[in-house]
Amino acid sequence: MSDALIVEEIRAGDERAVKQLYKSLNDGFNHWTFRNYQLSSHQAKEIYHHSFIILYENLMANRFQSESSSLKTYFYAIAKNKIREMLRANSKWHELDGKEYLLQYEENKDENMLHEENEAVLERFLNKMGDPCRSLLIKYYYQKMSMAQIADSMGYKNEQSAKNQKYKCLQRIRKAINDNKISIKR
Amino acid sequence: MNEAEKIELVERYLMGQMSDAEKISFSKKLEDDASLKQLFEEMKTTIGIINSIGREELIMKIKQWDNELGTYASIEKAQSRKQALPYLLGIAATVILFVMAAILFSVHKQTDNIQLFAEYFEPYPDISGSAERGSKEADIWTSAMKKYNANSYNEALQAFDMMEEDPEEHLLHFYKANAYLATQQPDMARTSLEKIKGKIPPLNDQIEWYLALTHLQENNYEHAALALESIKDSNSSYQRKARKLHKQLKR
Repeated sequence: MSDALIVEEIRAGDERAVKQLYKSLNDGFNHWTFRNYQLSSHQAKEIYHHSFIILYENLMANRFQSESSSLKTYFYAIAKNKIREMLRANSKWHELDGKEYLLQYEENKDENMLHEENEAVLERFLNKMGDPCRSLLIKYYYQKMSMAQIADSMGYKNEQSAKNQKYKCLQRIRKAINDNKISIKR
Repeated sequence: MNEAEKIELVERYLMGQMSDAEKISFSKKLEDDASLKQLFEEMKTTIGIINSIGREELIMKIKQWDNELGTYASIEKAQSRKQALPYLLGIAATVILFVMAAILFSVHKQTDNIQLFAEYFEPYPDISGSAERGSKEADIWTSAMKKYNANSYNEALQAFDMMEEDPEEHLLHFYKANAYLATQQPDMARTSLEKIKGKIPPLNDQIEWYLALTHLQENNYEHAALALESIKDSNSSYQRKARKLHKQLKR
């Protein structure tokens, strides 16, 4: 199957295609991370998970062009960046002074806690909202599926019906923000 | 412009669908229109959280695929065998060098991490009210949770132990683990948490978090750091706490 076809299936919301890609890219990945970067299997697994999520999000956001490179090359480029990021973070980790961090955190503690609490309230609401809102919003914002694809996958009559449903869901969220007096970071 | 149109406009900006000229015009509108600014902030936060939830779902699926496909189970075994021999001598030499340094620093380090544990550990609140049980079991459970809620963790553990061991009784293991941590019995806490790992989806984040704290209480800093790394890199509700603790952790 060509890369373009795999991407097309994934972008249409086909979970089997995502799983198949996940499996196929994994072949040889651990060996590659060990040979080139001496990563442990735990680190390789972490890098594989992170890189695959980035790959998936980039595919959904249409950031991958199959004419420029193969999916595998593209994925390995993401993985290389993640490994470098991890190695840089590890060296910073040893340099970081705990007291300095604590001071920085203490300065913003009250503000940070307020935003975290407010976001947690909203997160709980979104998680509890249930379907169709939850699935619809995830498909639209996270998976970046078009309204036509969403209408097709969720059984709406047409694109406009799906769009109307999305609007109703957003109104529910806005109402929850106001009813719960959730202060949004400004 | 009605609300639906405003939402569409904000969405186009937040989803990167505007041209440069449109972005400039939109920024100007934001400065001039307080209600649009309010909507923008709400949508930005909402979309951010929806994206986190979407990503969290994908992570769950990936973990499930790993189990189904055996992607990592066999590789980890094979790789650990493969890696062990060439590095054995190097590790042995390194261990000797570090043992000396570790003896010097361990007391200080341990004290720091005990303080960290005390700072971050908070027994999970009682959310078990609606659980359905048989009448005798219900009485024991109520009595155990009453003691738990009164911070009498040793007594709560005694009451928990009177309950019949049921592998499906996930909440029991969860609260037992908390009581074990509160009474400084991390090995018992770990056993309880490992029994329910991945089995209570609404408490997955909590279980991972308390497992990280268990490693910390056991003075197993490497495992604590790895567990915290995994939490901070996920979309767990403990992500921020994990990030802070990971930075403060003394290894």
